[in-house]
Amino acid sequence: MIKAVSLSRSFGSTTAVNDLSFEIKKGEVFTLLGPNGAGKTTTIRMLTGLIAPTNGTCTIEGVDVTRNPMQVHRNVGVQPEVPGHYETLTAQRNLEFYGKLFGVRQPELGDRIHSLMQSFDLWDRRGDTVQTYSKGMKQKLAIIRALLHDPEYLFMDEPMSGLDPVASKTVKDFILDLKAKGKTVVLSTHNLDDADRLSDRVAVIQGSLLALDTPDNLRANLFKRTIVFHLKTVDDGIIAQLRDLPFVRSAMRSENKLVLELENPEEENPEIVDLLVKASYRVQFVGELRHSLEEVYLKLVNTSKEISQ
Amino acid sequence: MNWAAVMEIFKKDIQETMRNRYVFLSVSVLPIIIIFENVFAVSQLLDQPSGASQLLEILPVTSIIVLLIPSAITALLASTSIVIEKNNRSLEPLLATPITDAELLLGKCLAAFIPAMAVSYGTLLVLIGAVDALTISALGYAVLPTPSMAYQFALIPLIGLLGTFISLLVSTRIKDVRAAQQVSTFAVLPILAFAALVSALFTYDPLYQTAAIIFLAAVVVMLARFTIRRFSRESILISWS
Repeated sequence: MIKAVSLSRSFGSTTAVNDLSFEIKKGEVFTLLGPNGAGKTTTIRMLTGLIAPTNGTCTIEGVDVTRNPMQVHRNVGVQPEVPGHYETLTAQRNLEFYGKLFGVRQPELGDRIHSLMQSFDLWDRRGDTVQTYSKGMKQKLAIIRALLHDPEYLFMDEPMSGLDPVASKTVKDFILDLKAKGKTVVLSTHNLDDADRLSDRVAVIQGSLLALDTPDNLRANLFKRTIVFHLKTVDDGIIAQLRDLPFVRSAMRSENKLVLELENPEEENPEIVDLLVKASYRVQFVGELRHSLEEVYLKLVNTSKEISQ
Repeated sequence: MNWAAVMEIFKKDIQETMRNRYVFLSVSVLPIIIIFENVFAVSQLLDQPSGASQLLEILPVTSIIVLLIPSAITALLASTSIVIEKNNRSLEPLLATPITDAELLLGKCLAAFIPAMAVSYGTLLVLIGAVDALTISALGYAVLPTPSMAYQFALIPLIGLLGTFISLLVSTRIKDVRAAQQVSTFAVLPILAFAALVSALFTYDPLYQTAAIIFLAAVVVMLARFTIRRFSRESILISWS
């Protein structure tokens, strides 16, 4: 488990991260979301022992990251935002170098390089210097590098940056595969769809923690649940009738659809369908309008801005 | 100390140096010029009637120029070693591995120091061989090495270490490769001048030469400690983000 308690970091008079506390459970995909300059990279660097917090503590499996960074590094893989390879060396040599620094010995190191490069479709280019690689290939190589020592915790800063859709899917599938193997993945991303699809929990930060929960709970906490009833025909008369119901927060019409905000749709939907059927409306389809994580994110960040102003 | 990690950093840096043709050329050119210049001067002197006696007087001093090699090569290699990591943004993944600052610095020191020593001693040996070949053919006997050259032999690693530590120190502070090389070269010059001055003034006085070596060795130890203390991975990462 990763435990951050009141993590803060200042650079001169600027506070990049302020009083951040959370726990990341083992086997979880945990995403840090936030605008540029929100402190995501600083947070990852503090969590991985690359920089020390000004205040607060962070532990990984009970080991204090600031006091024992070397012990933590053995158990942690870091994929930084910029891949940072040795461009004049071959991809294989780059990986061998890092593998040896992590203490992985041959033949295990060779096997791991082979298997990971195969997974990311880079094995055939292993003998090429990294300077001949595309941006996406370098990004994939950085992910392989972070996984060489089979760490229990993987920190990925913008892992899908620069990847084409196929490569991006490979990385996403790999993250889910790591999760299935019980590894803990901490992501920082701007891509809200990826965060929504991959994350067990999301922390929205902007210097400090704005919200932390599962994507679904974040939606539920910020927005009422919106149910859409597709009818064959609809008129305004039914709208007024629905608004009179005590559990309907709002009701509106959009073409042949009724859009209702409800407290507890699982309980209330049957009642509404009953009412509609009795009123001779033909209900074709009922579905929930899912707020995107982007809407959640924007609402949180904008609210935070308004409060700070 | 994890020696396997130290050696891995050393090997990686050497491989990068070998693949950088500009660095490789820079390292190769200086020894060739020094050998050529000395051999040419000796052959010119030997053509003159009083050349033999003049030769014995100036050879110990002219061979001091060999001391340029360890300072120049270490300034070139060590000054760029951290700056290049920073420019490539490869320092962050490197610092995320379980290596200590001392292991990282030692690996980088060796990658600058060992090539500098190999080239310096190699140049000195080639120079001695070439000059002796000329004097044996012209005078019938070898003139090198002179007893005072033991001082130069001892100075080469000290100058190399000073150059390495000064350049590493510069490398952690400066952002641009060229600037790092220039500052390192200028920073090494006073020490080089001191060593050359002692060598020239007290060519035949072992006492002064020994005192100069002890002094420089003490400076090396102090500088090594200072460099390790001043190396802050955090400030490097932050200032380069």
